[in-house]
Amino acid sequence: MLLRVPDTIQRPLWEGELAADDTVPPAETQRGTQPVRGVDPLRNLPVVSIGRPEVWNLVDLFDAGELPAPMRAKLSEASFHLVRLACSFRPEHDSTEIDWARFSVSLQPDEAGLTASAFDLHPLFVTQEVKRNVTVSLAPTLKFLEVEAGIGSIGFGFEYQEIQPVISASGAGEPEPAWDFQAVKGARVYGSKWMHLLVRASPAMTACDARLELSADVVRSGLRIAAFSRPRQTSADPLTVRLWG
Amino acid sequence: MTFRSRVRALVAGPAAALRRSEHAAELDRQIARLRAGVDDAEPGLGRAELLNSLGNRLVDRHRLSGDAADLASAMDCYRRCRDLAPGTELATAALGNLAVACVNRYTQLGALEDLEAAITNGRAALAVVQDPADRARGLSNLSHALHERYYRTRHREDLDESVTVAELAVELAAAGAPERAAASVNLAVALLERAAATESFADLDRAAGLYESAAAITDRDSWLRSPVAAGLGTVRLLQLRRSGQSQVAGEEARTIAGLRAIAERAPAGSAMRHAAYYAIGGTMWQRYQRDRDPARLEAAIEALEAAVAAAPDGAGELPRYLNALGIALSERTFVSGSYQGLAAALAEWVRALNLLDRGFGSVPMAYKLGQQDIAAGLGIAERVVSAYLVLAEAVATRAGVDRMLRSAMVIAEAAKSRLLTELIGRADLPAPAGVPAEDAGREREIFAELRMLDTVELVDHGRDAGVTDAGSDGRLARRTALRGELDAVWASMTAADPRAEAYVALRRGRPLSWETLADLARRLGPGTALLSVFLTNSRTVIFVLRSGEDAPDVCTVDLEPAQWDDIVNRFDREVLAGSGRRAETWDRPLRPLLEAVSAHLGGVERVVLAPYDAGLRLPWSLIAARAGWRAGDGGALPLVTMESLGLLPFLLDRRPAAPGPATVVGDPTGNLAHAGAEAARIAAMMGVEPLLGPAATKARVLDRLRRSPVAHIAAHALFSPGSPLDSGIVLADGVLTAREILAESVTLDLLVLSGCETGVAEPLGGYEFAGLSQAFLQAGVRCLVASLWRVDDPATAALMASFYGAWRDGLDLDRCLARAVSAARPAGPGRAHSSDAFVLSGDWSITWPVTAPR
Repeated sequence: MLLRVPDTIQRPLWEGELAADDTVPPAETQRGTQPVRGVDPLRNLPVVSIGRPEVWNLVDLFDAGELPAPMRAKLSEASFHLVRLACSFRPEHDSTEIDWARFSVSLQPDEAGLTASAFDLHPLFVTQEVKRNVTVSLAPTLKFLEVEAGIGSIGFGFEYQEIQPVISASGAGEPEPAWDFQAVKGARVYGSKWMHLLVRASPAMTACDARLELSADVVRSGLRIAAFSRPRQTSADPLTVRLWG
Repeated sequence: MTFRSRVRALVAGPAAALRRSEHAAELDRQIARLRAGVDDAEPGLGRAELLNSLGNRLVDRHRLSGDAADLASAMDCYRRCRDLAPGTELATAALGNLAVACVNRYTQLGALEDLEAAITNGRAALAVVQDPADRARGLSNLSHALHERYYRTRHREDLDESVTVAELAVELAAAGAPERAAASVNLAVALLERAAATESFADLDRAAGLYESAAAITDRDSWLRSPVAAGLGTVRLLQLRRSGQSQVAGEEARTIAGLRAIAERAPAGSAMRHAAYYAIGGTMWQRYQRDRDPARLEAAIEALEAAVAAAPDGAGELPRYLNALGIALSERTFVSGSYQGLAAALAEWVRALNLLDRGFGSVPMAYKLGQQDIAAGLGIAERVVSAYLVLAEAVATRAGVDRMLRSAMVIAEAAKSRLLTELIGRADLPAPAGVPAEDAGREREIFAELRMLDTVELVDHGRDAGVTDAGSDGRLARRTALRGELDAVWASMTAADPRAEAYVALRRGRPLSWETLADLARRLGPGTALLSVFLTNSRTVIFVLRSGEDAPDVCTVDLEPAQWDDIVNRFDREVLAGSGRRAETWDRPLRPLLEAVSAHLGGVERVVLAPYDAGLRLPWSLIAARAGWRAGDGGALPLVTMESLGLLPFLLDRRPAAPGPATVVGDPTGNLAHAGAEAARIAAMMGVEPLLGPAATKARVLDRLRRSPVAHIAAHALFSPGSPLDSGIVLADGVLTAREILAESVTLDLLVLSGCETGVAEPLGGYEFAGLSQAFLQAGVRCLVASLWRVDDPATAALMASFYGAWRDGLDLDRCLARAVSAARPAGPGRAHSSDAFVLSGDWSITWPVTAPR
């Protein structure tokens, strides 16, 4: 089975304007000098979208009898879920750019206190050039593996049309994986970004929630503004989503 | 016309050789006649004319023979001519000719005095010369000299001026005139260098056009024909390399054959010869990288060896050649599986490092920084450390392994903050007892003068649009003279008392040695570990050295430069941006390395750590705490951060400050309530009156700093990115900048800079970092506490109260800071706290001043 990454986010979970980060300490309490802010720098920050995660139980992605022995052994110890994540960035003013952004996932403990963790992340580290038509499969160790073409003998994979630098992922082995997107010369933080996460959980963990968040550094007229995806609703948190169960 | 046929036309075999030989014989005759004429002529204009002509013929002969003695004689002739006919056109011409001879001798022998004299004389001649052809010649030569200086200083201003000046020369020279050809060549050379720096294809193509036009107007017998042909070949190879097309292989081979012919015929030591071999070697290396054919690798090595052999020791390009040769030689190890290739590469890289370090103590500031920039840009130290570590895994004996690891650590530390180490090394140190007082006094005077010369240049660094000519005002000559005098003083010291050898070795400012590191570890005792962080092309390394060990322990992790960029970027976003929403991930990749190091820290009560490059921006105490490093009592392990471990012996040996009242400054701008209260509290502890609010002017603060053993400044401060010497402390009437501090003598035992970003630094060149902290250390401070990012006003006031309280109770300064920071840090994994920003550098053993009440 080959899962293709779509062109645009099909099912948005949340869409809205970034909000200035209210945890940044005010300049008055610091012993340094601050740049003078322009008029209303915090208005009209970029609009972002967060896609609803798509989740597959790993065993469902393979035909019966197709699983190599090492994989079967790992799958007998824990449950593994492949999660496709997406976000997009749309600065709406010429003078505004997203210099850096982080898409973070916080895997929440269940009622019994069990917590899932990120077993592997893709893309992990993209620094050099735009990668096109990237096919990723799973190694017998259950780690993501970029393959030349096709999906080989494993029988499962997913394909990106394009991956733009710079991307740096973190949090393997932990419940809070994240992807950082950094603007570089000739490549802005703009448009849709796709990510894949392999989540490892105890077989006893029948349900798993995750909280998603986008954090960004927005540059406007030389001023850097820390911002994040703050939902306007207050009754329920629309960025916490059930992954399975 | 192909390049090969052009070369054939330009440098035609036996006929050209015959012409050269006839020309040389004719020159010999002319020189003999002119010499006799000079001897017979009366002093005056007539003799001056003969001297100028004699100089010109000697320069012509040098072009054929490469004999530097001819250049020296020519320079002497021009000087005598200038002095015999002052104020005349002839004197101006002689001055211009002298500039040409100076730069020619520089390219052959590499003495900076010649290069700076070429620039100074060239500018002086241009100030008076009117004739367009003469101006074109003068401008062209100045362009050449500026380009050569760029090789050594890496100042873009020199390169850009070199281009501008050569463009003017091309414009001024008449079409078809020899000056036009020469100016075109110099402009092409400068453009090629700029193309290398900026990867500009436009500059490369423009250089090709200039060589073509120079070839079209160069006479058959002109000395310019070979340089033009060599330039054409080099630029064509670069164009072919850029195209990367396989169908050009034939043209590439023909071009290489032509260049080889030029190189073989060029005079020994000429730039044309080694540059041609280097171009061939670079092309063969590129081809090897494409097809992995071992024969190409060997051809690359052969050509690069020829380039190295042909380049004089003083050639600015030689380190680059040695580096390239080392890279090619090390590839042999991967091809053959034998470590001999790597060992041979190591020898070339070490030679490059030694060349770049040669004369470091006596060259002007711009050259010191340039040398470090070149070394860092080529990544030579990184290659050497990497090679030693690989070879350490290959050698069979324990002694062999130890030798490799010792060398690796020494190279790693010697690469860091070479200039700061030298400047601090010139501070007033107590001389050994047996040294004659007059020698110690003269040494002090010489160091004071050298420091003044360096400070004048450092204070101006990055401030002017242009580059100050180091040869102006006789500064370069003075430096050389002082250095010679120092050598004599040191010889006298060691003759009087052999025990002074260690002292002299420390003062010489030579690169760090293993003995210095081992002595330092021994002196600090078993409770202190010296840690050196370094980054090779693929691994991050921490060397751990403890007292009495024959070699350092080495811990490594696969963490390459791009990942370090990622660490620093994450640190900026997660800690410096001050957002409480972003989880801290920046230190995760370093934790395995620090956990591995902790296995070597048994019984350690203090760590002295020298970070590498951008690692200076990170709070290592916090990383260490997160990695589980603890002191024997289970508390935070005190950590002292140094730009280089080699700095520490100088700071430990600094003469203590004279007793006196402490200086305490608080809230000069009147908008930091907690800073004011902090200053008042600390001043009360010290028994002094603080300088608060508007009373804390620059003049008053500086006046007190000059007379105090201890100072505490609680104020706004700023770091100036891109211009670190403009960073400063905001006082009541303005900013006290690092530049101003550099010009001061501030012999404080302890200085606490309780403001934002007071410990942030940026490189001036290579791994030479500058900022407020470095300025104060150079000005005479023995121990410094400063911050790595913006700090919170109330949190800092609380931290400082705790710090001074512990110091008054008799704890070492590093332990005081570790305890205060640890107490301020919120429980749990949490986030970097404002207090984590503070780091301590220098001598932690300074005790509470006896004049202050306990």
